[in-house]
Amino acid sequence: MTPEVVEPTDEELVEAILQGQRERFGDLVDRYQGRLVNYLYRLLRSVEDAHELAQEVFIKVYQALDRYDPRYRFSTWIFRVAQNAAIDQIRRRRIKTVSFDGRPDADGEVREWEPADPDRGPYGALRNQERGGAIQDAIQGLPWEYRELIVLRHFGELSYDDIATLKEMPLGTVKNKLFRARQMLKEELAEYLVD
Amino acid sequence: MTEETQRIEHDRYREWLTLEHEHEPGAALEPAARRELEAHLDSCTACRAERTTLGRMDALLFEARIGVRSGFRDDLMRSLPAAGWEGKSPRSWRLPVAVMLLLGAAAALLLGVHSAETAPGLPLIGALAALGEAFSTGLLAGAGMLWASWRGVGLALDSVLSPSATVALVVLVLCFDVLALTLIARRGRAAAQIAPVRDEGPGQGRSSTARR
Repeated sequence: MTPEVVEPTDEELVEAILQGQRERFGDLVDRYQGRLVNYLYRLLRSVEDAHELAQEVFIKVYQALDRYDPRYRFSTWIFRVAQNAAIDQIRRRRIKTVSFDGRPDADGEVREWEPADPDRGPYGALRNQERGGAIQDAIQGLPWEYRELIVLRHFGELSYDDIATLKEMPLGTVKNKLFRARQMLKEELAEYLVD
Repeated sequence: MTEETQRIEHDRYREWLTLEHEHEPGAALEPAARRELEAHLDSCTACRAERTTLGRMDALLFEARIGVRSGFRDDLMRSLPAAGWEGKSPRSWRLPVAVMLLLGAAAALLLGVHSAETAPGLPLIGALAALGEAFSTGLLAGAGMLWASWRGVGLALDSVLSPSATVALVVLVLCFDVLALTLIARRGRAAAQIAPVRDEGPGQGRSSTARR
């Protein structure tokens, strides 16, 4: 019988890195890269910017690793750094990217549509683009406080508890706001949710 | 049951539907609530449809995720700059501490030999006494309580230490110097490689409710 391999927790990995095992930071990158890039992409609406900022966030976290307090969850900490970096970025510059049709959206910003899946053929690609645009529109149309929670939950994959800690909100408030946000999203995306 | 009461009931079940896949403590549905929800779903077509719709929406949002650029991790690890704290990590201390211990052992050996000559039978006590005297003399000199100059200190040391013990003391002092210089050099190299970082520890970050 093969012995069960127990994955180290984030906090244990941090401890190992601080003890000099620098390469273990790669394990943390593996764990968080997808979540961070998706979270940042939904806030910044640019694939390139999301990757660039995710890299900056990882570097920032590594630099400040000795200041990490293990009483808090690592996931909450890294997303707080990412959130602050994203807000900085949004404030620093207006997002100007090439759009599907070149027209600015309702916020007056030009938006980058999601890349099409080349395997789907011309119709599928168009449908995919439309759907990607509709999802982005629906998320963008949410009030900021709801949008943040939806993005943290569905793209950052944070638990309700982590979101409550990060946003300094009671758990019940997080549940309630996410419920409302999902109801709004459901209405906006109704045409894509039928058979 | 009035229409309003029914609507409130449905809202409650719909809220529970968004939590039915949660497993974490505090967020997951209590077993009793889960049973109540299942019982309600058996008899309510609208809530069953709601469950299906929510499932589809989750799938839609999941599909909308983008992939991470290939090589992201490797590029990042290659370009990861040294952090300031690395100079303070135990790994960086290993060599200086090893040198320190080695030299310290050599010094103790010399003191032991000296005290064995001056106080046979009690080499360890003799060594400790000699070491104590040397430190107290040094402390007095440092505090400015000794009227003499360094020449005076030299004379004082001569009176309490034999030549071998003096050598041991010099070795110890050199050892401390080497340790201090190594650490200063390492800190300097690490600091030169990194840019200043803002403090963003938990509870120290900016307001998490900042808005666009």
